[in-house]
Formats: sequence, C-alpha cells, structure tokens
Amino acid sequence: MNHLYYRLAVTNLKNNRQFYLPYLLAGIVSAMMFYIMRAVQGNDSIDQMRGASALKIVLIMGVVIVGACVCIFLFYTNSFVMKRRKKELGVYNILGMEKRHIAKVLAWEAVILYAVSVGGGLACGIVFNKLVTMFLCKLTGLSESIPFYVSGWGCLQTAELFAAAYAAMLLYNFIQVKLANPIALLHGNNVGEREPKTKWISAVIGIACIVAGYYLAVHVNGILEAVNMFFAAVVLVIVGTYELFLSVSIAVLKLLKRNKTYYYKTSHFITVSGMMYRMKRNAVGLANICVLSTMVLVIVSTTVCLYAGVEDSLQNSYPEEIDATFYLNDVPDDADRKYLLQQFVEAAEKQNRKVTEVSEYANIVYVTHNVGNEIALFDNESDHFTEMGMLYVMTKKDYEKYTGQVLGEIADGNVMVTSLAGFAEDVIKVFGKEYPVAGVLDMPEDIPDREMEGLMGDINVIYLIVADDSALKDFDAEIQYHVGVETDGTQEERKLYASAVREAVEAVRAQSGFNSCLIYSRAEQWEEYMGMNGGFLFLGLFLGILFLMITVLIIYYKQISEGFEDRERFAILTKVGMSHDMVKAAINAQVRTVFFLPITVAVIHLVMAFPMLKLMLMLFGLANNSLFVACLAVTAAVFAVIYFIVFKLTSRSYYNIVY
Amino acid sequence: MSILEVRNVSKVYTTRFGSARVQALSNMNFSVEEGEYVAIMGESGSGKTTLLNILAALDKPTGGEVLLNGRDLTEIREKELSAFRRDNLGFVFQDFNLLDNFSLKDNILLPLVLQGKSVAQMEQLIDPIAARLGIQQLLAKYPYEVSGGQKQRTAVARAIITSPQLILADEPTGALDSKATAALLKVFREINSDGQTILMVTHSTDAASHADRILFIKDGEVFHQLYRGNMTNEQLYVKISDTLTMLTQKAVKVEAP
Repeated sequence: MNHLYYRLAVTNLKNNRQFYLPYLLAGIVSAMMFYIMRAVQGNDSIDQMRGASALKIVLIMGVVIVGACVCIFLFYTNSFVMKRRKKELGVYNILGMEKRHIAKVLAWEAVILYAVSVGGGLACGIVFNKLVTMFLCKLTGLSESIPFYVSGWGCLQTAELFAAAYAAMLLYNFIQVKLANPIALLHGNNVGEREPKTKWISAVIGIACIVAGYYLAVHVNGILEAVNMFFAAVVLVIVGTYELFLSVSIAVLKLLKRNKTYYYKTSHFITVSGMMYRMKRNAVGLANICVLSTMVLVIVSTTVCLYAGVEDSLQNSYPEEIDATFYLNDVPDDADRKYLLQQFVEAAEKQNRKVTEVSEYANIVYVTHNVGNEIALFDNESDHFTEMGMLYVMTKKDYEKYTGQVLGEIADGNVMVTSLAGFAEDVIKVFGKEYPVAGVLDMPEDIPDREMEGLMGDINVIYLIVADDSALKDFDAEIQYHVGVETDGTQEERKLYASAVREAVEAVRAQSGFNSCLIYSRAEQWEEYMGMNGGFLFLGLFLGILFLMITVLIIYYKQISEGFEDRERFAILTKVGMSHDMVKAAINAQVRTVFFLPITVAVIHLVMAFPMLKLMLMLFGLANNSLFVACLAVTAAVFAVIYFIVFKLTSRSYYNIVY
Repeated sequence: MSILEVRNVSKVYTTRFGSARVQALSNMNFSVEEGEYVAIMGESGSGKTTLLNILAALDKPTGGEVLLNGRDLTEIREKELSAFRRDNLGFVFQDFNLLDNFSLKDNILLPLVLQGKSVAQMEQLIDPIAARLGIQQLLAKYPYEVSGGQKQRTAVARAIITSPQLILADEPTGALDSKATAALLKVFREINSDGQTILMVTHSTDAASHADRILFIKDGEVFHQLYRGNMTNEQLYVKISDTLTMLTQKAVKVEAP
C-alpha cells in the first residue's frame, strides 16, 4: 500500500514540475549555501590564521542569517506551491481518498523533496566548499593553503535544519488539507475575486512610516545616533514598503480610476483594473522583492565599499606606521621624551629600517559633559550619551609643533580654545575652575579627532591650549604621550619592526616611568582589516547571492501565478474584440510596471539610506564618499542587469501560459 | 436585403499529421435578412460551434465564403479582424464571459473603450441600454455580486452597445434558470423589434421558439428550416419539437440498415 502512495507522490512531483523544479533547485542551493557557510565557519585551518577572530564572528553571523533566510524562503515557496495544488488535492478527495491518504502522499512528497534537496545540496556543498574557502582566503588576504575537507558537523546541521524546516512545512500542509473541504479544495485557486477596498488608514500609515524612516536616515546626527536609529529606520521603511505595496498602490489606482477621462482609455482601462487585481494578490510578493532587492543592494555595496576602501580606512585610523601612546603620571620633560624617541630610532636601526618621520606630543584627554562654556566630567549615570564631549588639553609648545601654527603669548592661568562647535565666550569653566580665554583658534584639519565633525553629531571636541608644562600638570590627571613614527620597508619588515619597538619600549619601562603603553602597527592592522572587511565582503556576496536567488524565485512564481490568473481574462478580452496586439500591449504595460516598481522603490530607499549608511561606514573608519557612491552605483547597475535578465526569462513563461 | 450570407461554406479539420479528416461543415448555405431573428438548432457535433466560430471570424472556412453586409469575412486581414469584430458583431455567450475585475458598467463599456469613444459618448450610450435591460441599479456592482440572469443581461448590454450589424448568441440561456431564461428571451425579442438582427445558436426548444426562423443543421449542413409565419410561441414550440423528433428518427432510420 505504501508503495502506491510513494508512486503517487513521485507522479505528482513530476506532473507539477513547473512548480517543483524551481522549488527543488532552491532547496538544493539553500542546503548547499547553508552547508558551505557552516563548513567555512567551522574550518580549523581558518582558526589558525591571523585576523581569524574577527572573521569568525562575521561567519557565525552568516550561519545564523543564512539559516533563518533559507527557512523563511522554503516556507514561502511551499505555501505558494500548495495554493496552486489545492485543486488537485480536491480531486483526490472526491475520487475517494481520505484525508489521511492524502496526508500520506504529502508525507512521501516531503520525504522525496527533502532527500533530493539535502542530498544534492550537500553534494554540491562539499564540492564547492573548497572553492568558496579559497575565494574567502583570497578576499581576506589569508595565504595559507586550505586542504579539501568535509565538515561532519556541517552535514549534520544541514540535515537537521532542513529536516525541521520540511517537517514544519509538512505540518502546515496537513493543516491546510485538514481544514479544507473538497469543494473548497476544488476551487482553491479561484474563489470570487473582490475588488480590493482602499484602506486609507493603512495607506496613510504606510506613507507616514516611509517618511519617518527617511527622515531618520536623512537627518541622522552623528554615528551614535546612526547606530541607535538604524534599526528603527529599517523597520519603519520595511513596514512602510509593505503598506506601500498593499494599500498605497491600491489607493493610487483607485484615484486613477476615479478620473474618468484617464480611466476610460484603451491603454489605461485594462491596465488600471488589471493592476488593481494584481496588486491585491501579489502586493506581498512585490514588497518581498523590493525589500530583498534593497537588502542585496545595501549589503553588497557597503561590503564592496569596505573592501575597496581598506587602505583608505587604514590610513584614516592609523595615519602613521607606528602609533604609540604612553600613559604617564607626570608630564614628560624634554629628556624623557628624547629617551623614549631614541628607543624607536634604535629599534629601527637594529632592524635596518629607516625612520622617515616622527611626531610627538603630550596631552590629557577627558570625556566631558558640556553646557555652554562650562565643562564637567561625563557621568555615565546621569548624562545622556548625546551630550558627551571630548576635551583635550595640550601645551602651547606641543600644539604649535603639531599644527605648525604660531600662537601669541598665553599668560599664566589663561588658555586658548579651539572647538568644533565654535566658541565665543571670554571665560571657560573647566571642572569648576575658570580660565580666561586668551584667544579662539580655528581647528586645524589634521588635528587628532578633527574627523569627529559630522561623525559624532552634537558631540563637541574642544582643545584647551595651556601656557606650559606646569599648567598641564595642574590638571593633575594621567598624561598621554603620543609618538607617531613612519618607516620604510615591506609589509613583513614593518611587522617585525613593530615587534622590535614593543620589545625595546618594554625594556625601558622602569627607567622611563610610564604606567603602560599601547603600540599599534599599521602593518598588523592591515591584516585585521583585511580579515574583517574581506570577511564582510565574503558574507555580503554570499548573502547577496542567496537573496538574489530568493528574489529570482519569487519573481518566477509570481509570473507563473499571474499568468494563470490572467489567462482567462485575456481569453475573454480577445473574444470581446481586443486584438492580440492590444492584449500584448496591455500585458506589457502591466508587466513593465510590476518589473520597475520594486526596483525603483528599492533604489529610492537606497538613496534615502545613503546618509545613514555613510555614517555606518565611518564606524569602520571609512570616510570616502565618492568611493561609496561608486560602489552603490555599480552594485545597483549590476543588480538591475541581473534582475532584468531574470525578468525577461520568467516573462517568457508568463506569455507561454497566457497564450 | 440580407445582412449575412453563408455560401457553400465547408470546414475540414485535419489532425496534426493529416492522417484523419473530420468534415465539420459541408456545403453550408443560408442567409439572414436585416432585422431577422434566427435560431440555429442541432445536436452536439452537428457543426454548430464550428459555424459560429466562422461567423465570428475566429476561424476560417476551408471552402466557400461568408459575407457580412456584403463584405467577405475570409478576406479581412488578420490585423483588422479584431476591430472588424468589435465594430460589426456583438457576442453573447453561455458562460457570460464577463470580467470579474470590472464593474458591470465597465464590462458594458469595454467595447466602447476599445473603440476609443469619449467618456461623454459612453455615458450617453449606456443609460438607455441599462434602463431597457433593467440593470441600471446594478451598474456599480461586480459580476460575482449578481445573479446569472443579471450577468447575461449585462452581457447583452455589452453586445448591443456598439449597435452591431449582427448579434451572435451562443447558447445564451444555457446557464440560466427558467425565470431568467424567460426574461432574457423577452429582452432578445424586444431588441429584435427595435431592428437588431440576432443569430442564436441553441439546444433549447423553448429559446428557439422565440425566433422568427429556425435552421436545423445536421452533419454540417442545413437540414431543414421552419418559419414562424403567424404561429404563436407555443405553436412554434410544438412544431420545433416535432421537427426534432423527426430528425432524430430519420437519423436512426438512416443508420439502421
């Protein structure tokens, strides 16, 4: 008996191959992608590489996202296929199959689909895994060779995840069959279509959501706010997008319909009413396409930009090859400074490196809370982070040396001020003590933290320039002594130099009396950056491909289902005297709108998100706007081309159905 | 003057590889006068559908010619066909063929929109027709909201709104109950007395008994015809019944030896 159900299941799958082939293909690719992600993430040889820790976090994130997306996507396709098959199941029911028999057939179908998807997916995954890993290594600049290997955990988790997903879908299908009566099943896909009602309220909410989301994105003030508000803006825009397609579209069509001279034109008559009908049924599909497209564009363009801008952001964050900060209790005098600098030069000589540039200055750094000209220490408990400020205190001598400016005399107890936000007071009150302001300076471009402008929003950066070392000492705080060194040499030689500097500095720690020191090497950071940004790019492309596949499948299913819906309508129109050319023109108009709508909205979203995304990139030290614009444009163009090709191909199956 | 002339029309279907030939129509001849109300009756497979498709210019005959107002349908170029159908013919179908996504009003206006008429003209045309068919209260409704009879009256309104030369009705009462059938036949009678030429293909003796003339076709030919003359509907009904009985018996006789 079971054999019969099995054979019936096989026949069903074969007869419905128009639906199941893409479904199966999607299953295989999903399984493959999940396996690869999991296998790459669990790859031991990556663990041993430099920069792996950052990459690992990115990859774990990837496993979770890919897993979740794959499940949602499979569910979506399943419900689409089931909707189309209701009639067939109704026929079985009428032919005398009980619901439990139908359930058995469905169960067999699920087993076959599962076996093929996971089997095929794992096979492809194992084959392509090495290729993908090699690609990842190339992107991240990790040079070690990767052995061919099969991830046992990867296989197991893929099998488990998909088993859970298919079981859940089967359960859903059971419920569908159980709830339905045969007549309902028979008419499953053409219950009387009511003209959609205009939901004014949700249309207004939708527009409000999008406007609010755009407002947040465009008027974002500083990086902290961007990070904080990003999620809110994304949610608002996603909600707005769904409402836009579900309600606003219908509202607009209704308005068009109300305009009689517009509506009663051959080209508009069929299109407007057809679109209304389409939007009702397929608005969710279109909104899905729009949201997914936006995601692909955002993810791919930002990660490409991060990757292309590695050198840029590295240069931004580490203007010098070696960036050392010594923490001292006392203001270092000239002899102390000279002694420390000598360590850098000697280390270079030992390594055969040449120190080409040295800069040094001492300062005190405070995180503050500023109100007017009063500056207090920042209190984590009571002060809001948006009111945070930075205060740097430097001596006149260091400031002059660092900026190359020549300042006038500063009397004892007086200060000069330079502030990002501008400063116009005669007196500045710092931690309760008042200092007469001897002069206000323009903030130089290359001064540390100058780039905070715009990045930090309202957060102010103030430089307080005091007369001399003793005035600096009066602040009674930990002094930071900064040394920047530029050298020659290859990447490897620079790395060796960094280690040598660390050793040399550590050796004189007791003698020079600093509490601790932090030494960054640009060469070392380069590896971290490549690991991180290469990982991001990898993830971006990976997710981009996954989302693209999902988008493609949604478009395909949408075209097919619309084809079946439209076939009858166009048959009638032909009988009533519409020529094939007119029918074709009407179809094209609808199809074109449906094609351009999601991608147009996606591009608008992208443009609006630009200010926010720009700030998010700054978080990674990248402030190259033109690079980002170029990345966005190229990504959007490539995406549009792929989308168009897919669309052309799927349109053909649509026309085949309609005619 | 005759508005429609069917001369020696034949239609042969060949299967895809030409092995089997089916003669759907053989040497069909008849004509319809302007303002006439003609019913065509015949068994399933007698060639009714083929004939109707040819009259509707949806299909081309393999022989003979069909003249509508003196113009040969078979000569009209493919490109003009749709426009020709739209301007000269009105259709009423068994399953109504109304579009669910249009209100009844828009369904009726569809041919006018396709003709490119102005909104003012449309408004002017639709009101009297809707009133005459008793559907003016329903114009804002959608096909799935009204009864079968109302749907068919909408379809009739759509067919006559372009003032076509000829209305082709294909089993118009096939999906209606007896009350709706009676109402529809009354409508046909009324629009016919306004001068509208109607050609109706039907199985129903009742429907046929409302016509002026009934053509019986069998095996792809006009086999017999009845004129109403001075008969009432009831008398004509009996006459048609007799003819049908005779036709069937004759067929049996022919096939018996």
